[in-house]
Amino acid sequence: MNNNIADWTKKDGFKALFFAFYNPLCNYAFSILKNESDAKDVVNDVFLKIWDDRNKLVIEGVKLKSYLFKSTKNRSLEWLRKKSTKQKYEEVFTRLKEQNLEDASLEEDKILLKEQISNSVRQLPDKCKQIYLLRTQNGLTFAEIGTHLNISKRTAENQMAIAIKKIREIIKKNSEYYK
Amino acid sequence: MDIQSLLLLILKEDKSKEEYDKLKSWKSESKENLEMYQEYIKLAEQGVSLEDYKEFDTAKGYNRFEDSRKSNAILPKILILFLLASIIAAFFYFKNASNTEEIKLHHYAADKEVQIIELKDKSIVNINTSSAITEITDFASTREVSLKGEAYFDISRDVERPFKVHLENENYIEVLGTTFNVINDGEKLEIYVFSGQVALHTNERKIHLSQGDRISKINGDFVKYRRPDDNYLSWKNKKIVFKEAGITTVMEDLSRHYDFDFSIDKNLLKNQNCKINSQFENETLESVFSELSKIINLKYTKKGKSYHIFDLNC
Repeated sequence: MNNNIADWTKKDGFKALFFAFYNPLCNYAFSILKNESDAKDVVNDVFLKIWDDRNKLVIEGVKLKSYLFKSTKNRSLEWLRKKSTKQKYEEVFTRLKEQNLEDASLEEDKILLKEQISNSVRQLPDKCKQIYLLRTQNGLTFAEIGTHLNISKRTAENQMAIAIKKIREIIKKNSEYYK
Repeated sequence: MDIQSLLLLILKEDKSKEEYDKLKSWKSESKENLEMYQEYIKLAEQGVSLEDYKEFDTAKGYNRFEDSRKSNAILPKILILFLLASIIAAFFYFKNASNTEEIKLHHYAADKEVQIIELKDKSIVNINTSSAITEITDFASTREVSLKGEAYFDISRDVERPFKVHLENENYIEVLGTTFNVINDGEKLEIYVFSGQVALHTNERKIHLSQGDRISKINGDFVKYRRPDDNYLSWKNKKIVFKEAGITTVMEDLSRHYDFDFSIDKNLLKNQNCKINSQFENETLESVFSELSKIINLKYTKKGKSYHIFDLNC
């Protein structure tokens, strides 16, 4: 991702934008639609629309990050209204309506944080990755991790510290994409 | 303090008073320190769950985007081709449909209540609420089903005909005769083996699991581990047992069984002296909470389907 997202109205910048936001937006759409292929369809449409409207959006000075999430939400709801039962649509609609604006931006930040952690965890060495996941996702203690992986508790703690340090470095490096 | 020792201090589970103080004074040295501390805590804690976070193939998504961007211009032509193709396909479909012999494949779904079913081979399956299994072979040469949601399998032994459970993304489980629990609900994929041997086939490899093993898909990777859980099958046994359990365990088990969200006040997490010993059988969530209020003075607020625990003592 060497291309600058700031240049997103050009082809290369748009590609960088796509690569930074495709996965988090698909996850966001999935949280509404509960179906992977529908989520991908919706996000594809969102990017197509933004590409078509790029010059108009620049003139209007929209804030890109929240615009991407808002479009994904609206399009997902539209999708549900057309393809799902009325009851299901109303259920989701009420749930989303209850979230006020503040909650919505919290939800965006939560997804982007997950994206960044998930993305950096993938880049960790295997052992580090395993320890980080067992600790934060499966809730094992360091003693339990030690027994499980046949290493000392001390080593487990050290590896975990290395994992956290690396994750923060990677996140810092990529953070400009998600401002 | 260098970063590695700082992190080790943050991670330490049983910090002494001096260590707490050391951390506290480092934190208050500067604004940068405090911010760094908060970022590290966020990454070290169990708060950010990746379990429901999926990885969609971005490169594939981009190729598709490029294709659809270009084809927007020649859409009308494609529509005509598509119509022609559909007519041809429909013609062949109806022509063939009349020739194929119909095999009766059962579909079992549990909606609001847990269902217990017996398959043709005498295997017993408990299907959790909002879950379903579907036979995808007639069980003559192979025994294969697909699962959506959660189910507990007690498979009758048959070395000649392996039993397969198909999951998302072409992953499947293969067994000869065992008992195991599977969750495959689109967000979570998890297997817990209670007896015998189980093989999980993924696109890349085959993973062997034996009694007591658990495996879950986290961040696209399968992580195998062992952690006994008395209440894992509470949905099937309709019984929850707590032995010397801390409040976090109690709430986790209850929230899984009764399907609700919860949060616990941070101050309560620090000293978990309250150990809970109790057993609930076929009870409503309200009566469980009212008993907890009596035995550990549990105080909570309820908002919709989520509970916040703000006090307890014993």
